[in-house]
Amino acid sequence: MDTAYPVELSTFRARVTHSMWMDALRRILRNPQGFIALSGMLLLAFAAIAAPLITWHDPISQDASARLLSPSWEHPFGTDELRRDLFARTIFGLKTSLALSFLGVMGGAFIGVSAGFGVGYLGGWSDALVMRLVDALLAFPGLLMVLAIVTILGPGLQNVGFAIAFFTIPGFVRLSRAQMLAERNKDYVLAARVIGANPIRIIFRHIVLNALPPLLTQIALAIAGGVLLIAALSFLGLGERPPTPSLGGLVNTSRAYLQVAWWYPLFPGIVLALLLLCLNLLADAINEAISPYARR
Amino acid sequence: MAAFIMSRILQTIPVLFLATAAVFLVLRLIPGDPAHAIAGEDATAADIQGIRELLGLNDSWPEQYVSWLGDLVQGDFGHSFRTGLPVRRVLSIAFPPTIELGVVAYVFAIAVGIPLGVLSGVKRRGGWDWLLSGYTMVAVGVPGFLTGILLLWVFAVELHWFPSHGRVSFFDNPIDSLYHLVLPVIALGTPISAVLARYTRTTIAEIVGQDFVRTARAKGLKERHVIVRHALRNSLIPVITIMALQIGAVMAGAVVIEQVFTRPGVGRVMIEAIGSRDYLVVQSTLVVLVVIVVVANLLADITYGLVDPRVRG
Repeated sequence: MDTAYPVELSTFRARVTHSMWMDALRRILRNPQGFIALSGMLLLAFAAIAAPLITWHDPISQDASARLLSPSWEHPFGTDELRRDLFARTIFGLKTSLALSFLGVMGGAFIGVSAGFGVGYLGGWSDALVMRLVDALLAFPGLLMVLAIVTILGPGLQNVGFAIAFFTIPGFVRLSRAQMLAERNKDYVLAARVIGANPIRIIFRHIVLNALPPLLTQIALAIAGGVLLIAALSFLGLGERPPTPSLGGLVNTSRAYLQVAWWYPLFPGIVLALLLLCLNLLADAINEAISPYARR
Repeated sequence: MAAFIMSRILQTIPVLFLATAAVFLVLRLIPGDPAHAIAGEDATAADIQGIRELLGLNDSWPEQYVSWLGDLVQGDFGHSFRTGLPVRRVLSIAFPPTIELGVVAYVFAIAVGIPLGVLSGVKRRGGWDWLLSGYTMVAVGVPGFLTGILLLWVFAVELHWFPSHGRVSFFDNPIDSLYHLVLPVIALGTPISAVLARYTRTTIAEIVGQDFVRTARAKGLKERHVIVRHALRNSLIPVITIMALQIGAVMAGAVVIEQVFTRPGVGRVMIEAIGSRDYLVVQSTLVVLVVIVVVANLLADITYGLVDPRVRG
């Protein structure tokens, strides 16, 4: 690999000491799989964020004469049964999926990691109690747990977001507790304690920084899981309310028009598959980049 | 062996308690009042109070849990709010089609996943390994319901090779039943088979490098014999574990796939119950599903003992 760089660059690189994060990023980009996944993700995220700029059609307004049109320059992904532009609906659906999953997972990760670090550091009965509860929650298949939550909260996007947050908590508690247990007894923590740092400072300034990388892999995987759950819930009609578009919802409504509109399930389906694929590949690449065991 | 099986069964009892407690807690921990949800948007305070009385929601959590569990153990699941039918009857109608779909999809996933995993694990970076990588990528990227829609579109709507919806009971007409199952089984089984194949590959690849495999080869055994009798048998424990863990995914996936192919079953019952906030139906369905998952793990534990005498200890 190194021989591909000009000599000056490799000598330059040898002198510079990289931070852990830059090193991880460099490893992800050097791994072809990681490069594809990261660029794909950035492209999809850009499309989602810049959705109103990319398409001149409105995802909700209806165009008088455009019912179930096949793809064209005017409507790259065709139009749906209510004369709406499917490209706009797909892009806005992508935006909803990605934003909701990201926010839900971040919320769940924050609660889960705080609890995991907390009980991992404290140990004792609080640890035993929380971990048994986590074991019991992990016995549930994720989708079923989310269905249970949506039963109580009622369908709707915001509630799906809460359900995703709740569903990601147990996994983060378990992982961050394990990280805390592994780091807690290392020499650098002892050193910090010897110089008189208080527990809060030890946890946040020292342990958290060292325990974070494996959590990144878990975050990427959880976001993929969240996107899948949102799609499944929208598909079951328990996600967003019409006319808000979502990837799973588009695939669901397309079922009634399979005979006349091949483009209807195809394009939202491809975007959903690409999103899931990129997130999963990215998780693999992050894992390879930060874990010494997984490196090739 | 009998003692081993007994001890495993005894160990399952506390897990079942925890699992029912988890179902109970998930439905209680979430902010939101089930009585409010059942009563609807424009209910009076008295209506809500009435429902709270009826459900016993005014008792303390431990009291509610014990009374619910007591009824459950005696086979009393309560009554559906929407239809007034006993939940037990609703479930006895809902589960057979779902279990039928789940079992066949599970067999399909094992039949595809394990051989693919073994073939690619024995010769890493070989042809089968590349095939597996491609297969896993597709299976991970394409959710089951999307595979389902694509299969429905190509093989039912366009080609008319398979029926697009409905279910025939296996006991009424086995051939027609399987015919209706082909597409849903592929949609449900493909992602599961990819997970199984990935784990099998990793395990086999580790085992093939060990000394006893080299010994078996050195003895002059046929490669087939070395792999099936020696390597595969020794890699079965982790593979059985992951197989048992997938049962939860099969049951959850079945709920979605049933909707794609408009099959009756747990999926339809759950969706309708959630739509009408039929609380007890959802709670009971979850309990039955969780018990199925726990029992599957118990069976996996017992199988370890059969496969590997060292586990019986």
